[in-house]
Amino acid sequence: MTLDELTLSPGEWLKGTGPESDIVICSRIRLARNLADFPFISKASRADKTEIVSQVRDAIRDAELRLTYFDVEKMPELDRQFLVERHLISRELKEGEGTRGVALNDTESASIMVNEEDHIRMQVMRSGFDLSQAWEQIDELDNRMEEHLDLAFSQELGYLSACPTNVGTGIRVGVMLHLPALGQTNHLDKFFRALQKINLSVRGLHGEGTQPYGDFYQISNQQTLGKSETELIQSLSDVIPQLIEYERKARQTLLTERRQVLHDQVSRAYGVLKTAHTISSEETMLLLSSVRMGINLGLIDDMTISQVNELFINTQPAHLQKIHGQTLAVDERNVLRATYLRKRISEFQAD
Amino acid sequence: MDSGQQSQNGNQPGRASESLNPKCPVCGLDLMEFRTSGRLGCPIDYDIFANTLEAFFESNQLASLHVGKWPRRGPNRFEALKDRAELRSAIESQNYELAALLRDRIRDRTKQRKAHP
Repeated sequence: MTLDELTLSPGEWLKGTGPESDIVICSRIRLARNLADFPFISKASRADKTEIVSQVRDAIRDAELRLTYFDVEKMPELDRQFLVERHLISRELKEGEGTRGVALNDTESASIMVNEEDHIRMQVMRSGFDLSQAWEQIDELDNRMEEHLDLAFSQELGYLSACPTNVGTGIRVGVMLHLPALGQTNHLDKFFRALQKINLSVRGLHGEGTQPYGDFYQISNQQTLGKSETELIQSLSDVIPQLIEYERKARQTLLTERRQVLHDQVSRAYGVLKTAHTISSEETMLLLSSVRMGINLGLIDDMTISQVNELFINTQPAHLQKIHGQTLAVDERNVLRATYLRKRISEFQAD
Repeated sequence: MDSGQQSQNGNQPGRASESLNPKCPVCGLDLMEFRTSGRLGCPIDYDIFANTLEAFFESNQLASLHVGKWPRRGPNRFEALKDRAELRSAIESQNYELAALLRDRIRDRTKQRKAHP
């Protein structure tokens, strides 16, 4: 598998399938692990980091995980950004220093980052609301990796991580939601404050430190110690269906009480995407967010959720340049993005 | 967790400040640096900064004990990590006899582990 081959598919998390996929974009679980024989990354020498990569790659090979390893240190900037946009690596790995990389499976549902904040960050993503399958897959991945590695683990504190906010299970369970109707009400802040009270955090599309944009939100656990992995997963499994229910009700209320206004907003968004000649990635995301809701509410009937998801991923800066085959300045990208949108939407409508 | 690690800082002038600003003998991280960066330097730091971390866990994690899964190989004593740190300081202080001894020990342990994982 090569990175260029990835441009041909929308990626696991944007397939637009899976349970509750009209509202839940994807479910993600990651585990933080460190090798016992080396300092954490901030104190690791270049030789340490090289040896860590070597041991992790050997473990991946010996466990027969069928993952392809990519050297992020030697990778061109565009390819690194491309992997960030697909949520396969973090910004921290992209911008890190020294020997580091990522191993991916063919469907992009599993990835293992090496030498990020921790020596090992493994992640599994599933389309829709599917935490149980995600846990099953990552638990198996973790079990097979640990057969070949000595992990930093203490009886009292569990898996030891570079940041004490991850110690214990090392687990981060995240669900990415599209909440455009709740976004138009004044209730969203109230819900999010309630989530924070039960130790769940709310973040933007690209995780830590990013602002919510286009009505996409990630809800994840903050606590990693004192509860088992399944208890932490359950705390999200309990609360997400309520959020889904609220969003569905808010959509229905908008449809009944403000149908004309809503239909107008969705149609205008669709109209701009079909006809613009230059458009930024931010505007594209906001408009696609409206169109996505329009499709789910039956206000747009000539595009599918998986098609709109394809537009989401492929209109991001690095994706656009990878598809085009060269790096482009911002202005050129905006023209190319508009051209791409016009072409793809007319192809969808011709199907 | 018992790291079994003794402080290697015997410098008298450092004594008073050492108790206020403990430093890890394995990775060299001190409390001030940890407080600034929020990142630990090695697993032994969980022992070195245990008091600070305990308060953090109680307020942020609302717990102080792990109850999740265990790796099949169980808890680690971090012998190789400590040997590597000792090897580094032996080389720095030009104690080549000790360095050779430690290098052999690390090599033997690696071999042993490969034979009996």
